Amino acid sequence: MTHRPPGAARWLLERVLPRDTAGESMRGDAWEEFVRRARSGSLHRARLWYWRHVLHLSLRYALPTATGRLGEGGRGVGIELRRAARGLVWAPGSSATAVLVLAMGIGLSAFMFSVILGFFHRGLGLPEEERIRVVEVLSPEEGLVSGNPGAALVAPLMEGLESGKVAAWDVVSANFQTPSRPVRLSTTYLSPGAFRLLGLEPALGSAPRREDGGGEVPLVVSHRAWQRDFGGRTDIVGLQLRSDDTPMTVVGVMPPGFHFPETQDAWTLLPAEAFRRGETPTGRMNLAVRLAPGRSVEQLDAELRTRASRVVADGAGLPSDLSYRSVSLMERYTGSALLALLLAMAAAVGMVLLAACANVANLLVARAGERTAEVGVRAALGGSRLRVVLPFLLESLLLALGGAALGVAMAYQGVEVLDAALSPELTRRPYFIRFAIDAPVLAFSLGVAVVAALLAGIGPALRAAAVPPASVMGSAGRGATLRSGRLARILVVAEVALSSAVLVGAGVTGASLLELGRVDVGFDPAPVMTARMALVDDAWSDPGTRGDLMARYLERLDERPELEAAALAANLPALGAVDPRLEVEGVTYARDEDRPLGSVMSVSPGFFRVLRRPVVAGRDLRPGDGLAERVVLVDEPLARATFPDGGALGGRIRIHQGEGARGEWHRIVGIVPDVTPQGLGPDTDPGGIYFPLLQEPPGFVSVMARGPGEDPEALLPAMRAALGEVAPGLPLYLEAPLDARIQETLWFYRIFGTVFLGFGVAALAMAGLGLHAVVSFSVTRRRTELGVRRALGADGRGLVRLVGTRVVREVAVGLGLGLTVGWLMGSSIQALAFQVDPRDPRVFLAVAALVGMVALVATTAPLRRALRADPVEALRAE
Amino acid sequence: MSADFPGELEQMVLLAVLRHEEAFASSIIQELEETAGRSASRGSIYRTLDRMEEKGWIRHEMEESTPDRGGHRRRRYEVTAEGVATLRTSREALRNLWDGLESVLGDGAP
Repeated sequence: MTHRPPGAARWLLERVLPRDTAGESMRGDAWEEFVRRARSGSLHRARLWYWRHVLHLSLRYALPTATGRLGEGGRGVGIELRRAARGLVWAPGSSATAVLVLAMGIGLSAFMFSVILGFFHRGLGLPEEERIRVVEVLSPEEGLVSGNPGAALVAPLMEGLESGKVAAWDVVSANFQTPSRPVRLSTTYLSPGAFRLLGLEPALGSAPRREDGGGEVPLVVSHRAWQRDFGGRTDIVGLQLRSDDTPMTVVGVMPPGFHFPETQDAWTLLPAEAFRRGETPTGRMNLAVRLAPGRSVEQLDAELRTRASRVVADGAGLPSDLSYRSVSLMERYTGSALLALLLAMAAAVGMVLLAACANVANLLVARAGERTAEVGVRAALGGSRLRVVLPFLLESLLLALGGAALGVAMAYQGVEVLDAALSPELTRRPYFIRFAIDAPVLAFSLGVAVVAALLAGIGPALRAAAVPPASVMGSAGRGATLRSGRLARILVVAEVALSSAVLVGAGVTGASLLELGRVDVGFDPAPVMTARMALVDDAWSDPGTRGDLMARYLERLDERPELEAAALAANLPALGAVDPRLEVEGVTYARDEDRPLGSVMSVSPGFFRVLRRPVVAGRDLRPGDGLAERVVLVDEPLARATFPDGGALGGRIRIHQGEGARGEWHRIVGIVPDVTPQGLGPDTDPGGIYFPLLQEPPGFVSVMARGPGEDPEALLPAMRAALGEVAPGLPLYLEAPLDARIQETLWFYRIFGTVFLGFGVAALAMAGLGLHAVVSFSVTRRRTELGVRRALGADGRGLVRLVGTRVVREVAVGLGLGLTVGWLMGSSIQALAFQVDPRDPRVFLAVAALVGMVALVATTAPLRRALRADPVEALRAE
Repeated sequence: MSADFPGELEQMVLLAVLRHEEAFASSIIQELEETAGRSASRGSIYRTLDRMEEKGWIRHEMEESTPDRGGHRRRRYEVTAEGVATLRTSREALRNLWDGLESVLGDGAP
């Protein structure tokens, strides 16, 4: 059988050795030796030998060439570097541990940095975006009118709107008639010059020109909408369609992944006059300018302040404390809500990194002990302090660089997974939030590696430099005189403390994930399909028209054989509802707080049939309810809260509308099961009260349906078709299974909770490795002592106590510190806690138990070695 | 010709090459380990061979590959006349230094 050396090592050798006959001969020799070893021993060992040999030759041949170019000093460093590298290669076990530990620390840092960068710093992808400034209105009286102020307040800034020196936009969803079916797209309405000012450039077709005034209104659509709603048709540019009653012409398609300003799918123009008068779709607007070449942000802000004081002086009824300021687009569109959480996560990652450094420092201290003689000789021969310190720093630098390479590879995987998990469909994240390992992240990782190298290397290095040569020369052969004891102990305590603190966070998120796993909304959402419709255009301004449409839509839905049950509702179950205070007829309430809270739902008949939760008592809603007598359903929790003595059925109840106001009484005609109207938020769920939908037909309404099968998506065509029969041109949107809609409310806990749990696992591994290394070292160092004790008759238990007591003490101190930090971090981890108290004592107990267990496992093997300490061996060493 | 004395490892490698009719890197390493009880890393043997070749003490010829070498040819080393002369000079110098020290070191010249 012929053996071949490992391919990757061969590849490396091919590159390091010179391409001459010397190189060829060496390659051949290595091959030959590999085959010899493979034949006479194990193939595995032969491979191992080959790898070591290749790394060794690499150090000898590749490094000198590289460092030699740096001149004499470089050559000196090169020699040291080679020495350090050789030391690492020939102690593969502890080097691999150190690299792995650093990889975890650096990898998590790179990952976290990429996430923070993704949320806050990648920009919206517009040309020279840093020169675009969004004007914000500040008014302490009115609070900060963030970025989207009413027309009156910004009127003084409108100069230049017509000429395109100022851009204005407003965002709202609108209905469009595509050739195939009606759709609802989130749309940006821009002032005529805004396309050019902002630099919005379609990939297909062209941006609307300002002259496109009269006649048809130009429309630009996103690449996503083009593919999804227009079937990717090639003749999209020039396509005529209508948005409500306005005829529009598609003039362009934006590049893929572009959804300015956040998740929008369509862009169109609104006349400057509309912005000037404040007649935008939402009545509010964003204003932005582009800094002229040579003009600074400070100059712009100064001018804005002057303008503000001028308009205030002119009167016009504006608040006297009005002022303006400018912010970047990124500042305008990224909230600070996530910041606290991300910072807590970054802190956790920082702790893991510190623990990693402490770990590696410990390893280096142990190694420094073994190298006492070398250090002493160097110092005695008059080696400069730098010469003594350098090997330690270089060693930790090499380890950190190895860790960085591995860590970045791990972070790359992590970021890919996170990017996929946080899909735009699930989270509706703005398009500019994207996660990647790119140049800034790589640079950051390199920086972290250097810092980590210094952190890990400086302690052992300075300690070595401080040793007087004479003290080590005498005992050179006999192991450690570099007193590494106290430093190592401090490092172990620090490691355990940092790991425990991170573990508390991971414990809280882990418990949250468990809670998420067993949430019960009171019904099975999986087979239910949902969609939403907007009846907000002029055509639907009359409630009667809306109610009529809803009634006819319900009839058509009922006629559909594909649907087992269907209903309309102002909002979907388990997705949140307003919860005002209620009052029961005949009960007097001393204080407002005495009135029970109720989650207000507004539903059509059939709502509970769709959820397959039948009415408990009384009857369901019927068509026509809410038109003559006012009736209502309450769920069981609310029935108990409002009628503690029973008798809810037939009782009358109304929404408390404040003193003086008198809402209408509603008779309770049915008791229904609890379907958690508020959903799975962290708050407690007040019981539900269900009003007939048609009593006050809302502008936005959800349709929900269930079929005989298990596939909710299959119901969508029937739901669309039924609507098409009663309101052609009215689109359904937010079409999604109910289960998916409920999951949307939970992704945050799920994904970030999982990430945090990952941090915890890394921290735990770190604590285990650190303890193992330190106890091993300590046992090795005290081998003689242990042997002598053994020889003098100490029993195993005594030896274990001797070594174990200190470990227990260190772990206990570290644990105490860590749990305290975890307690203090409680409020910042709150955001990730799902129905779990971040200071739940059970979490702290679990962390203590886990750390104790890991400590036990990590120290068992070295302790066993302590027990086996051979008295004869020990005395021979003397 | 330089008045260079060979270093310890150089001397050993030169002797190992001389002892073999066909000296290859692997046989030199084996010879050092078995006869002299000296184990040196392969890397340092290669460096030593290169250095001595630069000094003109040894030279090599390329030989065809054998089946276990993955198609790579190998270098066969020979000691040059200069190399032999260097060994002689070195032995001479050491012998002079050893002279008269038998009483201290016991019998047994290098």
